[in-house]
Amino acid sequence: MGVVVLGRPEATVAELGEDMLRATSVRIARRGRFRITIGARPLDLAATLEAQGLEPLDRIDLSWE
Amino acid sequence: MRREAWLDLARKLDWDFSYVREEEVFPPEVSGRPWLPGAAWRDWDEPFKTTYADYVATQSQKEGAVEAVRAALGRVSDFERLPRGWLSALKLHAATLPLAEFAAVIGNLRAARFGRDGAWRTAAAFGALDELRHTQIPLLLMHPLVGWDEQFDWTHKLLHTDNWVAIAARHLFDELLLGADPIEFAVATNFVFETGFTNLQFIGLSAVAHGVGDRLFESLLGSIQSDEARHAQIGGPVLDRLVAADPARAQRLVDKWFWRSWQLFAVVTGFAMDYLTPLAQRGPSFKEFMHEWIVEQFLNTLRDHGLERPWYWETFLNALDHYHHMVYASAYTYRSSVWFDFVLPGPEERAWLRAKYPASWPALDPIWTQITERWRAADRGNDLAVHGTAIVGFCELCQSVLCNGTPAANSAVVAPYDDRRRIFCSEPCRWIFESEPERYRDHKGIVRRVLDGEAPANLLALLRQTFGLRYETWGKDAFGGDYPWLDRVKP
Repeated sequence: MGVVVLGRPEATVAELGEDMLRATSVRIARRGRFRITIGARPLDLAATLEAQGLEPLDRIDLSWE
Repeated sequence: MRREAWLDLARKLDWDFSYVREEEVFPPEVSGRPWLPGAAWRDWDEPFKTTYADYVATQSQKEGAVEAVRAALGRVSDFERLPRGWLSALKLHAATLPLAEFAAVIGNLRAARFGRDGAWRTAAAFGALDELRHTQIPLLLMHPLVGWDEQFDWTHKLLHTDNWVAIAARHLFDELLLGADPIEFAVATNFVFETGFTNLQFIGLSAVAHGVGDRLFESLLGSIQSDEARHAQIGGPVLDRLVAADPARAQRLVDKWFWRSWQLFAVVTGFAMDYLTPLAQRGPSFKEFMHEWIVEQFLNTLRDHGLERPWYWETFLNALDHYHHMVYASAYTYRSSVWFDFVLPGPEERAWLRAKYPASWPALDPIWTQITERWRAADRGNDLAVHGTAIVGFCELCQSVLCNGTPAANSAVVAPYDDRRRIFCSEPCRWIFESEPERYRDHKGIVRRVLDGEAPANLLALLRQTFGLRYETWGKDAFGGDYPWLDRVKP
């Protein structure tokens, strides 16, 4: 299911991933390290959302490494 | 006078207009397109050929039958004996359907005035009366239960709220029943919705109601079914003329309304058959029932009318394995956002689901493992310990949760339109939006209301202020997480 996670431009992609995991933790158990993609493009976990060019209502996917 | 001597004159009465043009009597904006001259509709007919006297006599008998069952089995004590999960199925159906039926009165009345043939208008007038009783009977039957269980108040309340289910339901029903011209109404409601899907309710769900011992709901469904079987007959003859005049529009309407109807029934009936009915009383799975009673029959009917299967057919077949499961799991973890309770599937239920859904259940089962683990660590009755906290995303078209695709590959897609980016749960929903954007573009879903400051971003505030719920009435685990098979972690 899709959830809406608020992200600040200065937050990192990794922090956004942690927010996504918290938002879905009731259904999804953590399985170690994750990666985040937008479409087919992997995002740099250390970069900020702004630097990665993320915009409101972007669809972002989290999957396990 | 013998019935045969006057019946056709009474029920199939049309005029040749002398001082107004036919287009003024039946404007295309209201009567629907393609606009054809009256002569093109004159051989329209339906098989029931009911008189008003016949109608009243038959309906009176049916009312008497329902009343007899209500008198015998409509007490609160009769409902107290029903399984808790089934009561939730009842609350879901009771809230979703009666006021939708009331909207169908309007759709039928529009056809009773602006349908292009006298026999069509007569059948639609009876259809309007039918839908009125389909509104009144559930309201009548559920009302005494409000004092026992306040969640039954949502039978009447739901569509007067901005609960997310109400927003999704209104988006569907307003278009299907209030906004459609008689041609689209006949294809969408009479042909697709009533002919295509109502077997789910009147055969499948009715059998389940019988199994759990809910004779009142079974009686209600049976009483409604005989009405639906009659006025659904309007759809085929209208579709035939539409196929002849504009086959592309006919195909598009069927494709659109099959998808939209499917999503509604997947939730309303899928939840009941695969989750809320106790295992001992379950019959075929929702998917099995869909294949046996809906899919094959619908494809045969489409062929009979010279139409193709919808372009997204493979997507639909995949959704049979996934969609209602994904919505149920999501709704379970956001159960406080609705007015009925949920059952946590235990080991035996999950084994049944695995056997019935071998292609999809291995990917769905870990979700229930995780939810079960959360309950193990939580106190009995501590519902919010096993509950989502973020706001959920909703589809810009169907306004339902983004639950299409599979757990590993959600099919949600973002697409720009005007100055906004829009999220759709599936390609069919995106296609429906992009086919008629002027019809849908100004609708405000939950997420847009939050972003525009019209609804709170905090979930608890959203439940109370926007969704119209209170702790006492919002949905919980039906057993407070207290299941005999669930052993708790000792502190």
